[in-house]
Amino acid sequence: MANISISRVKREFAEVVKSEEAKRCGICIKMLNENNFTKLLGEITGPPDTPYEGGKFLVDIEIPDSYPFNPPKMKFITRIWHPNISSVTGAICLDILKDNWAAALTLRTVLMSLQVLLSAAEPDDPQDAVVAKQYNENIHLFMKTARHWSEAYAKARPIKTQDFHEKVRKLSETGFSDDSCRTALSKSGWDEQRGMETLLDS
Amino acid sequence: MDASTEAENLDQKIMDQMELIRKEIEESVPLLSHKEDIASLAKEYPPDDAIYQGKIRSLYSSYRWIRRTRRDGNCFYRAFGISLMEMLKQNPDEYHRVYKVIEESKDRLIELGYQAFIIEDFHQTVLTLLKNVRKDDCTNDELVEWFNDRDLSNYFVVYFRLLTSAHLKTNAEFFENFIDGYQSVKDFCSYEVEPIGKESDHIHAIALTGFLNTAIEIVYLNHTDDDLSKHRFPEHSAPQFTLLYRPGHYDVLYK
Repeated sequence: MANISISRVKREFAEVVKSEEAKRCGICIKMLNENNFTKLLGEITGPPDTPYEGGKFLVDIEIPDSYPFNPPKMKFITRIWHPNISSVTGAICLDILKDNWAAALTLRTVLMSLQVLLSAAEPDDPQDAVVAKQYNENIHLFMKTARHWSEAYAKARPIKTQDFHEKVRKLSETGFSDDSCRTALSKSGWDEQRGMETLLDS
Repeated sequence: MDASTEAENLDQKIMDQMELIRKEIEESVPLLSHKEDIASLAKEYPPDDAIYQGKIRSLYSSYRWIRRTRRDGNCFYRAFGISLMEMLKQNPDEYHRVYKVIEESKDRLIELGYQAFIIEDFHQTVLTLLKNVRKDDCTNDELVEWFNDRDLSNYFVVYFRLLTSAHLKTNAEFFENFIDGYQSVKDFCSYEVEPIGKESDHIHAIALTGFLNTAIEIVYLNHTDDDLSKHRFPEHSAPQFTLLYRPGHYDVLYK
């Protein structure tokens, strides 16, 4: 990594740590290894009035050698049910992380944009086709599934989807892991029969 | 494999492929070439293409040399940059004027909401370049070399993109009428001006020359059935340097 980019990342890192706005929005950033500014960890609190409310979502941040002329690489580590984020890999579909990255953007502005993405999904430009389909066809089921994932993976409280937790628990008695059962049920509209078939097919 | 992972793998493949193409171009074409005889343009088009060959012949009467730029979406800024520096080297009065505009531009950007700690690096790099231009022993070859240093050159591109943006935002009421497909001038700047690699059009040329108060001429070479067209920015000004525009690309022309 070129020296110029390291000194810039340091300043950006300090900016997120100091920012009152970031604190208020529940956004923070950490180093994974001391003095290594190429691999960072972001944390975004799920915004109010969304199914992600109160959840803590961890984001893997990698700073490329060519920074700031190329965007930082980011993906969700915490599993999340959202049309623009892969439910499998955490890959994010957000324009400023791709073609519309500009060198005047910073880690703070990108993390804030990710939080905005949680409030305002863009199902017409999906990353996860299955989630986007559910979002477009059955918004209530989408909201509840997203809430369930936030409770299961992002420690969102209070628990509002007890019935889904129960369905996952019951299906997992077959020996499949909770994660596999949750994914299968989420993709099958929470129908146990179809969830089981999805599990066996995969 | 489920559909979303499959799509992601495809995404990755496309990105790898584009990266490969980008690298190939990078290895074969410099960001800025040395001056070449204008006659070299004719070889790029079929000898029996009467329109292109005719227009290129009429270029010969006014221009001797062409300096090519890499087709990476930033060609306008690099073509503009080298021409501006070469002109400033010859013209001390303009040099002092433009130096002052650039020196003070940082404060204007901060007023517009850009963060000081982010723009400082870019601002400093451009000022350092300007200081070098003034040195007696600075040659044109050194300037070309500077613009061929990828990092330095990109710092320049980023800063001049911001200056273009600044002029558009400061005069938003006027430019609002020319930004088809965008809600606001601010959006247009975020999507079409500031991201590195986004191609430039008329509006970018108007804005950048407006910010710096410089005058340029752009000669349009395209496959239309008319004479070679020339546009001055601003209109009716005496141009300080000339760029050649072909659809999607800018190079530099010299007399």
